[in-house]
Amino acid sequence: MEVAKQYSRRRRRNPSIDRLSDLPDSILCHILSFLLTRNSVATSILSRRWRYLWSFVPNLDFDLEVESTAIDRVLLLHKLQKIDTFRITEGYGYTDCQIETWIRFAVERNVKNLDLHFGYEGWVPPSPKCLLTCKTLVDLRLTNCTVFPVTGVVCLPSLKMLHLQFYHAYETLPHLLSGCPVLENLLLQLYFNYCSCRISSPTIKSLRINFHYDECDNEDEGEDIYDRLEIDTPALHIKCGPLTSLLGADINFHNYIDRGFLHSRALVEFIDRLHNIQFLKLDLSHYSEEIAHAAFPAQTTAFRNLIELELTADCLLLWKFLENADNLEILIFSE
Amino acid sequence: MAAETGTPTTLTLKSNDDELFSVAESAAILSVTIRNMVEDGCAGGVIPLDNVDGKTLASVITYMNGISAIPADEEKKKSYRDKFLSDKDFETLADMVLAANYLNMSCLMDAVSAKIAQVMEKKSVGWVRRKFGIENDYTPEEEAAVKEEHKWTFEGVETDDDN
Repeated sequence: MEVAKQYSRRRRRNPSIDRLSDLPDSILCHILSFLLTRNSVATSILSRRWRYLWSFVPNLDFDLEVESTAIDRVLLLHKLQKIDTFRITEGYGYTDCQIETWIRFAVERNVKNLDLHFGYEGWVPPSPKCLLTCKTLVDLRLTNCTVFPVTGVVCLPSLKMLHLQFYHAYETLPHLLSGCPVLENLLLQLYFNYCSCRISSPTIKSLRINFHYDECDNEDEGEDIYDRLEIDTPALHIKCGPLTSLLGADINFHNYIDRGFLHSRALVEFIDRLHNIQFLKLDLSHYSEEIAHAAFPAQTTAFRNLIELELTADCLLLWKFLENADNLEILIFSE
Repeated sequence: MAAETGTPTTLTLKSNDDELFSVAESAAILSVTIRNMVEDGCAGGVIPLDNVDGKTLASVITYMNGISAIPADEEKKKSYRDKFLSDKDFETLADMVLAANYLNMSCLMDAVSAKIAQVMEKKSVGWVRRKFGIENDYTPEEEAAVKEEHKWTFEGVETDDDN
């Protein structure tokens, strides 16, 4: 009684103070969808009305080291048949069987955004049939996922965003990408010293590759260093991280589309990032003029390690490459 | 009034406490509710918004004008939204989420909801009950049972200092 009196007094003094509790459940669930699942489940303590609200929230976002039994329980009590986002961050000590069950849960509920970040390497995504044929998936982010199947159906008809962090399975990438007909954004974090990979997609507009140098493995397997990266992405707007340890590259910019000065600048920045390269085969014939005149101002990049250069471009560009290429031994040039 | 021009580019919105506001149609149609009214030909006179008070509507219109002046650049829009909401107190946010819901403005709805969620995060149960005006209708036994059921969710949350 006392509580009720205080409550109504407060209400009179400030009529808006309890407006949130007057909100329909749908709005409260919308607000809860911006919380980690840990925090949205915790709201069940507020009052009877709030007890099961969290189970109608379309986002499930498990943060650091949530125990597997807690995840199981949340999924068991969750009521929605459609979920938007399913995220597990930094999960340790989950068994493959548990992870498979959770992914199945998400896929069966038409998940749109799936983000699995496991704190250890070597995780193999279970039941690729289920994950890799998810029709509703728009955004897929996998961290520490080492192996993808080389064969079998990959059909991700809605996937627009794919992030693969600390990704080892380069040889399976073409197969994976071939099943993503509308992919626009690809982020790869690759181990540089294993990099022998081909990225081919007619629809990718944004590609970001971060090379991560894997020191420990390099000591044991120095012989296995690869340095091949093939990129075939005609719809691409270029974005690239540091390429300081890349030794050789064969880059051919086909399918010239006039995107103006900014695009040329991006291209030049990309070329600048190759400055430590030793062997470079570069075809800029479609872009030559733009780069030479619009985007290569007074700036020169020092290709001091360059030993072999095969360039197809405007002769103005050749000069830019040669200006600081002290160690160049072989030059093949065509205009 | 706006209707005199024949093809009105300015709309007049009326709050539930009878305040009138002029707003460019291009900005106002960020609200799907208003856009539908315009498409249905109701925009000639005054558009009554029965669920929004004048103070909140003024704020929503500021947002409409601000965000529609930014070209298609999601980063800039996001930073505008962050700045716009940064000085709003909790009660204002509560009014705005209701208004955004009624006006069917998903971008404002998401931004305000996220902001409210951010305010709630890691706060004590007592604090959230106070701020939300939530009456605790659990018996002590029930409350203890719920707490036990979801024990893992209360790690790292502020402890109550007010009950």
